[in-house]
Amino acid sequence: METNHEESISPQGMSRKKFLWIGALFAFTATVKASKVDGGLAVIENKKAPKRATPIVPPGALSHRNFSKHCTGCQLCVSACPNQVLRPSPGLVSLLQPEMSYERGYCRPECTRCSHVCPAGAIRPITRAEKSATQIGHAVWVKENCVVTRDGVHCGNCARHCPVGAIQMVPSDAKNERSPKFPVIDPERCIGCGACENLCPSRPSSAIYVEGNQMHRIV
Amino acid sequence: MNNSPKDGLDRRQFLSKLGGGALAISAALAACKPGKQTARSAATGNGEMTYRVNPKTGDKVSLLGYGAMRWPRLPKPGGKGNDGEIDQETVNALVDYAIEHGVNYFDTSPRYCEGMSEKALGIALSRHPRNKFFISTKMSNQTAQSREESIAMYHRSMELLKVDYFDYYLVHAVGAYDVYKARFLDNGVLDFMLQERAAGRIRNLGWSFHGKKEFFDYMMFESGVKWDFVLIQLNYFDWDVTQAQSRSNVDAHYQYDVLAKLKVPALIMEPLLGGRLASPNHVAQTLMKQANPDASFASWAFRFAGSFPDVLTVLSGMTYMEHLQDNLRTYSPLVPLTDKEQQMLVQVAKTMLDFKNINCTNCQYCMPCPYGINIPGLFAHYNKCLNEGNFPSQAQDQNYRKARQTFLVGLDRSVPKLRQANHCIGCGKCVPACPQGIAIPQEMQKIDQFVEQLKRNG
Ligand code: SF4
Ligand code: SF4
Ligand code: SF4
Ligand code: SF4
Repeated sequence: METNHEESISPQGMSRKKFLWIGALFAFTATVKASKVDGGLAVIENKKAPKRATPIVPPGALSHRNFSKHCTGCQLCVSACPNQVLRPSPGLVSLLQPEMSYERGYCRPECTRCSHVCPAGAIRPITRAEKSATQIGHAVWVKENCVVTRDGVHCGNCARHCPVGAIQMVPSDAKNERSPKFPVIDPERCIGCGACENLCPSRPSSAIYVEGNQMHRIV
Repeated sequence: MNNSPKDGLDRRQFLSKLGGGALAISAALAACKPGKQTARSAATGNGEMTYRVNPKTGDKVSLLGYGAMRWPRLPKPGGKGNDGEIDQETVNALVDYAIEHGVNYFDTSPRYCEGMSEKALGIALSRHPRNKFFISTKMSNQTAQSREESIAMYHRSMELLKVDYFDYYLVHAVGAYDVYKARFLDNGVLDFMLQERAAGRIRNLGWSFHGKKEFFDYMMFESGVKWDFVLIQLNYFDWDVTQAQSRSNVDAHYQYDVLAKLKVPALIMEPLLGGRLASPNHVAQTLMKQANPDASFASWAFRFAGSFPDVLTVLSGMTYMEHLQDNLRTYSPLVPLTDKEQQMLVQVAKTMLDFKNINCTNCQYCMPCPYGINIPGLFAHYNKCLNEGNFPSQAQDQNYRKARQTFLVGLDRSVPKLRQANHCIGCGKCVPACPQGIAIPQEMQKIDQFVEQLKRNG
């Protein structure tokens, strides 16, 4: 069952937090073992949207201000979005202006559809190349939720899927190459596409999520 | 054991006398329309099931053995899938039909079908006289660890299967000495099984093998136990050509030869490689249809496994009546392969290497993945698209767009988005469970990158 290629941490000098973490690892392994039968699919919990201090708006929208000023709530972009990123917003306050979130998909690198259907100038036309250099937000890591901490397993799914290579997996112990690896985000490279947030295995709350940028930046 | 044919068979036997025995699967019938149709509708072959004799007990065992690892399932309440309860009525019908047509060997395990297989088989078989069938189940290698848990598992199997003795009992999926020692020797579990054999409650004691040659040799030559049989993986793909691909460093050829030399009956699992040999790549399909346009792809695999004289029974995990009927047709009676046909199958195996399939047999041992991935489902889709030629490789190809579309749409249809390869975190928990030694996380990344490329070129 022991398949973690990384060394476990020695009990000496272990902080209380680490101790709990290893306890959690054992509890996790034990449940898997006790119920080991062949086949079946693990239940997948739905994801909960994080509380974002600044809402995210699609590439081409320029800024949150520009978007809310021009969007007429026509929902054309919502029906154009192939990745279930845009959805009608629930509140009346937002005047039916769509909301962008990454529970069901992320803003994929090849897509610029919403920017081409928006009739109101809320999302301006943008090319794929321009999009790949437009920072609509930046990723934030939440250590307690990360499965590397929580389940004591390898992960790095965020780093593997970042289209601009803004995430690096770094050994938690500088002196030990094989210690568990945590994601480190380069905010200057991150474009806020949400691949990491969407593909993070931590549920219901992702351990990495995108905070919107007030104003989009070009890198 | 009563093997006299039922009324239903009499008519077929009569027809078979007229039509000439095994001709149902020979090309000769292609010219003879009515005969061909009769052979099809008389779904189960033209004669009687082939039986093999267990040298120790004299058991007359049907060459087709029923593997209870893929029972039909109902949808979950409110769902549409086939991942709910076992469909007991259909299981009963399958078992009845099998027994009626001469199958008398039934194999299960406490782990199969999410742990529901034994119960379903027990219900179905309890409706038949105990001397009509041989039952086989296993001491699982991963579920229990202590002697007490193991003994409890053994008694639970008896209870669920509603029997007070096992005809065949196996040490499940062992492959390496240290695992075997810790799981079965040190805690006295093997001793317990030997006592049960001495007491007559285990009539035949054996083991199923997935692993290294050193361990196979240890079990056969040094373990000090006289095994009554061994369950090995044998098919025309694994026979010689593929040892390099799997975790095992020993091919079926070697295992069978050792068993035959020591006069230990060989039982066969994965004759169809989890169904892959029933739907091989299109080059292989051409070879087979040219050899005999009337034979099903699966029938070649069963004839291959059955043609070895020291094979006692060939297990097949049959979910559908059509598969059961096709296999009955192949073994009622078995027509051994000719040399020329054997050579054709060697060719087929070679084409499979060219197609670079992932070696998954859909055994489900790796499941459930704690992060929700449908591992065998993804591998099956990938292999299927490779084999059907729906594998978009070059964006410049003429049919790239169509192939891309087929691949991606088919993927979303066969595996829900959240269970696809990009959600595999590479934790590696599944790896030790896979008897085929597949590097699952690496294969997942390969599929993931492939899908990502397809999406980006869209
Ligand atoms: S760019 Fe595409 S994926 Fe992103 S929000 Fe717009 S329509 Fe959706
Ligand atoms: S994907 Fe999520 S759980 Fe995995 S390393 Fe990144 S933040 Fe942690
Ligand atoms: S390596 Fe991937 S497929 Fe295997 S158990 Fe981990 S998440 Fe699941
Ligand atoms: S990946 Fe391995 S363990 Fe999983 S179903 Fe396929 S062959 Fe079985």
